Amino acid sequence: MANDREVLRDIWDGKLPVCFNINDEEICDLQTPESYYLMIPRLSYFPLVWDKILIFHSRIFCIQKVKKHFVKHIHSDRQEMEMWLDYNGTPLKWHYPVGLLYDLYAYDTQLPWTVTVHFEKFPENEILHCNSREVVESHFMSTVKEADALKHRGQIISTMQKKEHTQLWLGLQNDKFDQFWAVNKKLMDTSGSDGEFKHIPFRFYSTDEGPFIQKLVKPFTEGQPKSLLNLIEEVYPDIGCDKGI
Amino acid sequence: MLFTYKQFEFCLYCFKKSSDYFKDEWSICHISNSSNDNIYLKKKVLKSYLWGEKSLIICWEYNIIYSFSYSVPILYFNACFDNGKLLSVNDIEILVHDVFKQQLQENKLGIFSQQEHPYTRTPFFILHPCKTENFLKPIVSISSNINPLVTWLSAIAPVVDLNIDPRYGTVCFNKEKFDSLSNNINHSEI
Repeated sequence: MANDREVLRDIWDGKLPVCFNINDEEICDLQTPESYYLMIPRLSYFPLVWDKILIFHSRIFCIQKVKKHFVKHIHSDRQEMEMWLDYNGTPLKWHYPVGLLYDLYAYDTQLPWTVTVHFEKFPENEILHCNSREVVESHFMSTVKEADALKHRGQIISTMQKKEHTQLWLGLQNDKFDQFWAVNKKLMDTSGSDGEFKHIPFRFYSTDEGPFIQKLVKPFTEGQPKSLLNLIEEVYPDIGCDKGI
Repeated sequence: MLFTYKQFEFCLYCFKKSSDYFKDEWSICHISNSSNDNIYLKKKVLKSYLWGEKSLIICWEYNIIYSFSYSVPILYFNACFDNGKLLSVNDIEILVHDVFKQQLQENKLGIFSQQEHPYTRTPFFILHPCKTENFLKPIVSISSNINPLVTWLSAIAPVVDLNIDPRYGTVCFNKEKFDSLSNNINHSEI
């Protein structure tokens, strides 16, 4: 890790300015609520800032809640106040990192990235439920586990202590680079018996809603480490990559 | 590797043959894109349950998908009410058989959780695959067991009220029957 620390730090520090607006139709107030702005780490997840949005909009939120209470009485739906976001009509999957969502759907938009906050009509056929931070943590840890299954057959993550798992998660949640990397360096270790990862953990996403692409790719070809370009060529053999990438 | 995709594919076609034979209504889905040409198994089942004092119809969907990361099969599932609304984790917990309930309450997120289906990209529940490798290891090493998929599935499926006809087991351990079934597999399918 020592030699690429600066790169890791730069990636970690990548942030996006995001502007949150509540969906007009869900407001029963005469005044349009103000927009709420946040700088969010690209590697983070939207639900980790939901509390801040809720507190900012708490006035409207309370009105909504009261309105719902009277209109729907006890017939209230279990998930009625579940928060979700959309950009240009596309519900945003909270389990993708913020940077990935931006790159997929909004890379050509002007910053700040403006997204819409919803409390109604949760699109349950498109996005996963997320009613607590534990759900985000569980999702994050399962991706870390899966990556380690590819890198070390899961041997590193399974021998870690619970407190190390927690440290990894808290490092990400609280944007603490050193705390996160103190544990993650073990997961990125290649000094084991093989001297390299078994496979490179990656996924290719596209906006076409087709399956994401994932396959087993070794990190070396005839002793030479593969570049990102090599990986792209291996995964998309039909696409003639511009060598200038 | 413990259980390769090729082995999975072969087991899947055998399973499908048995399913057709027993009229069990599993179907094979194909997913193709630039670098993958994968298959998975799918079945939909309607079941009625007593929900409080009401009787309800629930539609279950089960998918058996190969995980390249873990080199094991994974059971994906969803359940919806007759109005199309999906069941939540808590709803599913109610349907789960009593013998699994306690375990589930102790470690809910550790047993199943909602995830994105790798092919349809829509929300599905999965039974976590972390322990599947340990479970499969001794099964795959039994030479007489020709279809480890059946052994694995019949062990975990009852958790989500999926019943595997015991006759799958007779095919799986009966070499003669298995051979006759596997000979009938159309090789262009593989």
